[in-house]
Amino acid sequence: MHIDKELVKKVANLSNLILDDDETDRFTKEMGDVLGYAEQLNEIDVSDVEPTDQVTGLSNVFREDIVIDYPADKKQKLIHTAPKLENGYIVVPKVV
Amino acid sequence: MSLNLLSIEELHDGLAAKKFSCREIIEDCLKCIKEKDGEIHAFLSVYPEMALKCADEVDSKIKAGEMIGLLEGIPFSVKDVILVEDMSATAGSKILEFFVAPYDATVIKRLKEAGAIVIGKTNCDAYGFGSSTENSDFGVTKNPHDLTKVAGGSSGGAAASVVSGMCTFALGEDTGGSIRQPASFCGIYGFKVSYGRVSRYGSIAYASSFDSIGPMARSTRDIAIVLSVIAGNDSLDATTVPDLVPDYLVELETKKDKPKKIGLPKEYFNGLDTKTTAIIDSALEVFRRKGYEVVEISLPHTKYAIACYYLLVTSEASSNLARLDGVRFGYRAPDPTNLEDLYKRSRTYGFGPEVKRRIILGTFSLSSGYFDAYYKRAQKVRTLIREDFKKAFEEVDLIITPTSPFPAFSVGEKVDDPLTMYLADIFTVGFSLAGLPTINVPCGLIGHLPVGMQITASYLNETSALKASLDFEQSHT
Repeated sequence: MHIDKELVKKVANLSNLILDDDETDRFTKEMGDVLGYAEQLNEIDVSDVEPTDQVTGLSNVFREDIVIDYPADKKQKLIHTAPKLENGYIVVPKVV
Repeated sequence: MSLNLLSIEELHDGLAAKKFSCREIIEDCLKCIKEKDGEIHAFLSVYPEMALKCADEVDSKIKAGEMIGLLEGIPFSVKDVILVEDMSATAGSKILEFFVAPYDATVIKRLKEAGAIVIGKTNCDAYGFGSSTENSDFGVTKNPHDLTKVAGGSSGGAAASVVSGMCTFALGEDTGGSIRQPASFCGIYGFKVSYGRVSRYGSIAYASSFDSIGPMARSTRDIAIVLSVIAGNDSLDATTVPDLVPDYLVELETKKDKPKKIGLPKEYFNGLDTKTTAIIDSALEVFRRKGYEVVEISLPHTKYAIACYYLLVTSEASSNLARLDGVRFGYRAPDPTNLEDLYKRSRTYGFGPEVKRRIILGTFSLSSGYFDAYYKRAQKVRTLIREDFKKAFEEVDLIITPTSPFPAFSVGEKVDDPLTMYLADIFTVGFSLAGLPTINVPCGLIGHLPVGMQITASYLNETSALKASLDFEQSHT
């Protein structure tokens, strides 16, 4: 797999990151190195192998669908982790 | 007396017998931090007042003649990816520099209920992305055995805090070696438990199908005591297993079982340097004398572990870190022109180079057109690696390998070459892919630098790994 600058820029954009020219050059080389190394996985025949998503063997862990009361002071702490608030709401730039 | 270097049981007995106070324990730790941490930089934040207040409460209880629990008044440090209410939680990343945790992680809640005292938050590679703490946005943690060397990573601050006596034990977090490798570099015990054994609720996620919180300490018994408290099902983490948690300390003392069979995977020893080989060989001799049988085994997919691991964890990380966008927590770029601009500039400013590298790599593996060839294929290889271990554990009870191919390396030595740094994790990531319990046990020195071995047991069989660790500790030290 050949990694070029255009691909790195495209993926950076998908990741909501801005790269300057130096970073783009550097990441292009480094991504090429890492993915080149990862190509050894192509040596293995995985056609009949199921993928592993998780290792616990648990499935469908349910809980009661009920409201659990959360103390008011803790609610305040949670909302106040946001960097910009107005009247208890998180402020974001206009979206519509 | 240096109370900061005593074990949990020694401290407990001394407190109960009123030989010293809890305030004196905390003061000894704080003194040690003050004297040494300027150079070592194990901590990102220390909370003397909060810790001393807790200590005074324990002292009043003892004065009033009340019984105290084993962990009551015992000081510990917390890796900065784990949330402690009203304390900073940066995850080693600039974007979270001013983030204060609004609640306790489940592990913290359980330790606080047991009376243990948080002394501070320890340095790590940002989000756990690294093997040396050089990827922390707040500077590297030096190895207390040699200040020109790294303490390992990503839980390097945690390991350094324990070995230098700044606290009695530490909570670390291990995704691909982040507890075991720094424990090995610093010469302490560090237990990455089975995935699902300990709740991840309140831990800033790196790779959700790998992350395991675990104890780091100066003895096997200390590890066992802490694990008994933090382990167990949690309704706030649906991936915790419902299996009963034994009292590991009781198990260490009472459970007599037949001598165990140790497997040495030949793939881990091919080309290993002679000094490390000699140290592991003499450790194995100790086990043989204790009645263990040692046999060679094979884990044929070992050579694919690093590639498989890095494709999967970067994918999971890129998805987990999407939540850091300048809206709900962390750094927010000023004067955004629109929402996308807010996201992009907040993240670009707040994330260091390794974080960006991993997000981009992970986003690539998950993106349309590459998903099957990279992410999905790696998930399938993960299955093959797990099957290797499953087969091995039909033959043997434990697997022993070195924890790292080399002792602590120099600060700056590997930082410019990400692939070389990734390859440093070669002995630890396989066990992480399989979610197995594996403990680093100090077993020798090369020069003045510690060398560790990993003792791994089958899934959820933490007791076996701990018993072997204790067997070795008792006959070695």
